[in-house]
Amino acid sequence: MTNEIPTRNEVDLDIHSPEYRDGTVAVEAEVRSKCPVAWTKHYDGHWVVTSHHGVGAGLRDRDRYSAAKTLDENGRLTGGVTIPTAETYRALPNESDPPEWDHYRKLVSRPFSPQSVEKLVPLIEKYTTEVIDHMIELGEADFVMQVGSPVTALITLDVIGLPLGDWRFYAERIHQTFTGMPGDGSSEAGIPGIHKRLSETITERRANPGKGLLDDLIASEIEGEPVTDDVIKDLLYDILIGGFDTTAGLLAASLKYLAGKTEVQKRLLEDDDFLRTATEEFLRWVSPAVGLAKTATQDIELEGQTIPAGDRIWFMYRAANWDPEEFENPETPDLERTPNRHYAFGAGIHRCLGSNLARAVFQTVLRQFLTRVPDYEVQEDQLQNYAYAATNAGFAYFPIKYTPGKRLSEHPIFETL
Amino acid sequence: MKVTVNRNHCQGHTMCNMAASEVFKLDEDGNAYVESSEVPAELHAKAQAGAAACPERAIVIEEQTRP
Repeated sequence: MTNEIPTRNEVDLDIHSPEYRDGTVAVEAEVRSKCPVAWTKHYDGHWVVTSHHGVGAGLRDRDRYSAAKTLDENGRLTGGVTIPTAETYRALPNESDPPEWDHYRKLVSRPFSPQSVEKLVPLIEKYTTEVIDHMIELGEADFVMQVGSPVTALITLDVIGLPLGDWRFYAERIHQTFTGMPGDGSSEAGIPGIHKRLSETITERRANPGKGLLDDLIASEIEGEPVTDDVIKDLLYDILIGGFDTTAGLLAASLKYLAGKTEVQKRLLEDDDFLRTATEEFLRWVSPAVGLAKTATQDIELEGQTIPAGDRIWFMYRAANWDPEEFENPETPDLERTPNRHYAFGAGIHRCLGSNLARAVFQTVLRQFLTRVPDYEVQEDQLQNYAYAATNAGFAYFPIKYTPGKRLSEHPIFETL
Repeated sequence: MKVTVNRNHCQGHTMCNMAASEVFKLDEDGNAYVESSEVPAELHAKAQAGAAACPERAIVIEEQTRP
């Protein structure tokens, strides 16, 4: 115990409680209205930052906040981007700081640049057509696992160079990390399987090289040393966990808003500028990545609050994106909102690696889905949000009904998905 | 009007380019740059929109007073 107890505003917020999972933005608004930077006693105590200004200032400050996950003196993993610290793995580059971060980020960034993603668009179109083919004759489907997740999974596995046939293996386990509750084992259950399969594929590819980011990583070096299989695995895991269900959740929530709004749907299909601003507004309004943690590396003053070195800080992206100080009527989507300085992809050096790919997948799937399944109805009474609601705003289950349509692919990749 | 992109702060959100592709170009990593810091009068409003869109506050605009 220190003799001096700094003054601080406290809130009783358990970020993994059912109350927060169900209350979402209302809970965040209440916390923000009390104080933009507040202390909560849960999970050994941590700060929560809810204002747009505070979240932005914190995320941009690469020198005084750490995202690194390291071993403590007892050999336990500590720090990282989740609260509580997720054990047994590191997600890279997300859970590292410079100068380590610079090496990792450089290794994985090129395939996700705007220019690379532009070249991927025909492939995204192809996978989207194929995935919709597999559900369009049915008349009812779970949008998450039958549309949003498979398209994102297939394009991501393609970029990495992982076997496309493994999409369901990875997608189901990643889905489980968000549908389960952190801490009670239900969320973490699928993670060892993902790491095992990744390790096996990496070993196999060292012997039989293929063509993809994975093979580039095997051939690459950090400061003259080959990149280890463990680091490659942690880099690939970060890409899988970061991409799959965030993009699927963004699509599902946007379709929930757009259901029955035929005029808006029509304009999205005809007006590219409108689709562009609408994409940013859906990103802000949905905020698929709800929040992530960092650790103070020194005493920091943020929004007038002193945060002591070593303390954990939960940056609430969605709360920032709904801050009325920055966004007028934040609760109402304004699909032409300009400017729209949202933090849906975070900010600072850890800005979402896949943001350009996410936008391209979102726009491609939205266009094709609205064209081919125009009369879809969301079964709102059966919707299930993620249990792990503090990090991901997506849906565990998103059932829709629609008039069956016809398949389009002449040469499908999969007989069944 | 003089526009500069602080390349140390830019993180490749590409929001400036979406708002004003005539002013803000993207390099092969998706980070922004300006070909010329002098922006012609007809693009002033767009340049300002691009700067306002930046989540990193990486774009600086200096209004020049005429002699």
